Amino acid sequence: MAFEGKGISRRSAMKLALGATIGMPAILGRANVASAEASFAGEGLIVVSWSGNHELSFREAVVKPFNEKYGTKVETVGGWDQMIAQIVAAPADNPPFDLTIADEYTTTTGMAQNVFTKVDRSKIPGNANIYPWFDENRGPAKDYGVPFGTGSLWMLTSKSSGLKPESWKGFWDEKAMGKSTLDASAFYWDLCIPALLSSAKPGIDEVFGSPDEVELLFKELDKLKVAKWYKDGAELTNLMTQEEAAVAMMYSADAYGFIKQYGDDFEAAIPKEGTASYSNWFMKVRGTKHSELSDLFLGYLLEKTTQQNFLNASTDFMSLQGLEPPPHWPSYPRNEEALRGTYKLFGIDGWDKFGPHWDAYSARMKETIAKTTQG
Amino acid sequence: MSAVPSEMARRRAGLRARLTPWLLMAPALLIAVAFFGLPIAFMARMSFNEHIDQRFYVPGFTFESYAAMLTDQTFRGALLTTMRLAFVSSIVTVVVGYAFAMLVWLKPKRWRLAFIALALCPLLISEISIIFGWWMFFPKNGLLSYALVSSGLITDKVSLMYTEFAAFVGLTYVTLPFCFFILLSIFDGIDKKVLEASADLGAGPLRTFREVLLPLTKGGIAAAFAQSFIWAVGTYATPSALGPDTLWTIGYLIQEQMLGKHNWPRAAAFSIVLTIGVALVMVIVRTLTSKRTALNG
Repeated sequence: MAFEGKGISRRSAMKLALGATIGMPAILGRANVASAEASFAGEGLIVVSWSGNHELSFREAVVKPFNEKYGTKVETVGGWDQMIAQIVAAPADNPPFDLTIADEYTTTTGMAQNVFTKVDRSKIPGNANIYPWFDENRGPAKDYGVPFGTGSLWMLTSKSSGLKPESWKGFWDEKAMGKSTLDASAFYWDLCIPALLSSAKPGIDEVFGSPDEVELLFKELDKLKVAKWYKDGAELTNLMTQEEAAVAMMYSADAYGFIKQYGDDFEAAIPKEGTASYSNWFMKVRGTKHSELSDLFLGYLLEKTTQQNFLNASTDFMSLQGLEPPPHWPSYPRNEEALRGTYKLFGIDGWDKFGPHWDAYSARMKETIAKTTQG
Repeated sequence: MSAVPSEMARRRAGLRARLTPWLLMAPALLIAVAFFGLPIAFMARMSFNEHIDQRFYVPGFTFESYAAMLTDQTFRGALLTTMRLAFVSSIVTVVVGYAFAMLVWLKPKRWRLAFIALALCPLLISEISIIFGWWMFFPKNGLLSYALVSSGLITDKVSLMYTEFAAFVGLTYVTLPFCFFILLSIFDGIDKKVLEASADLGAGPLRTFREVLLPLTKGGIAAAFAQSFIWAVGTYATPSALGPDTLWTIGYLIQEQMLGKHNWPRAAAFSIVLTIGVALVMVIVRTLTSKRTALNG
């Protein structure tokens, strides 16, 4: 009665209390799904994914369903190697995006620049079910985001060339001479190919070895005859579709989209020797004004449906255990052992060893390009 | 007693005369300082910072980035390549732009709009889209090869893709509109009657061009060359996407240091050297074209 006297009816007061009860957990940052749907409706979030086909798959398989579920305005923008520079260049309390994808190299730089903020992963249900492999190589950076999956190198061949994406040795095959294409920019991935074929050290460890050991890898690359060293995914696609090249090293981020579009003429696979890889983590950017929504989105990334949806539209290995192999990838590794056998991570510790020699190796790579290019 | 106010008035007038040009220039000067001066000063300061770990830079003062350039063969090669590429493409651009602008100037008014619209086209399309267009044009299975084979001029398909020629054509296409509009504005300021006067005095077309038009448009040629050169030196996507693998330009190296290696001081040092190089070329061009003639005063 006292409320009525002040102009608020009991029904209004109950409505207010109910609204506050529903909204409060979200305001405090730990909304349950039902309340989150209402609390975050209309709120925006900018998430960076890898520019190109990865971004397209991410938008369709992750962002759209999330927005439909929560009524949010999450958008994804493409990035490649400029994200940390963009964050550093922006005011600390007003970053250009809220979450960013980050491989080991991006993460190393981001941690050095202190541009990430911590995430309480213990409160994310899916976190308990990720492959331990993802956390093992991450160091302190694992507290600043969640692992979504793993990108890797795939081998792409044109069916008319008579080559199959079965072994990395195919790049040195007579049929591939003058018809291959590899990455001119991120040259460290090219070095991983002879490292995968070498038996001197496990995995791609030769790349992290002494300069003399790395020189042996360069010498192997020197034996190639390359149609053109590509500088980005668009150029790679152009080289293959214009028949300038017949065999390529392609990133898993692009492989699914390429095969979907040109699958009649090309084949893509991870060769039998396994592949070099980077892990795709989504990191929370310091200064984000949408911290709670970021947490909700990070949690959504580790939901089984989300992971399966993305896997069905990609060639990335996902971080969650127990997913079904998609129709386009029947040989998808189904357990930890298969994961370790297939993927050789270019880890943060690897970057610590490779980084100091970057300038020398970059100059040496230009010699290799000059020696081997036909274009 | 009246001498004092008159002296003051003269002083005031003198002060006003001295200040007026500065006041008139102030808005433009402010914009130039804010948008060009400060970023270049910031970039110059950045080039002296240190790069010792995974961070983009560590505040400090070192000549290391500049010292490294002296021993960096790739940098020296890229500097020469960039200057050569920009110089040749700028000359070609000026020649083509000059001919095109003169054609538009000489043609009846009804043609003018169509020509200007044509010249505007490249400016309406992004550089990346233009590159994609060349990717459809130059390769073995591209439009050019198809046209040459279909017309019977050649029997086997030919690829001009990933050649220096493709890079030159791409650069020229990007810079041509700027060059054209500068030259057209110069031509528009010339009274066409000078051509008639020259003919009346017995000069043939070539002599009229050499002794009348060329001196009158000399300043425009220099400005168009400068504009084209600056664009060509700074453009990295076009030569990178159309040229051969070994066509490393300074723009490419800056991108590599900035985004690949995350070495901001080195990228800034490269940029400063490039800026100084461009400034030197501009000074030389200006010196060569600053002599007044009887015609251009």
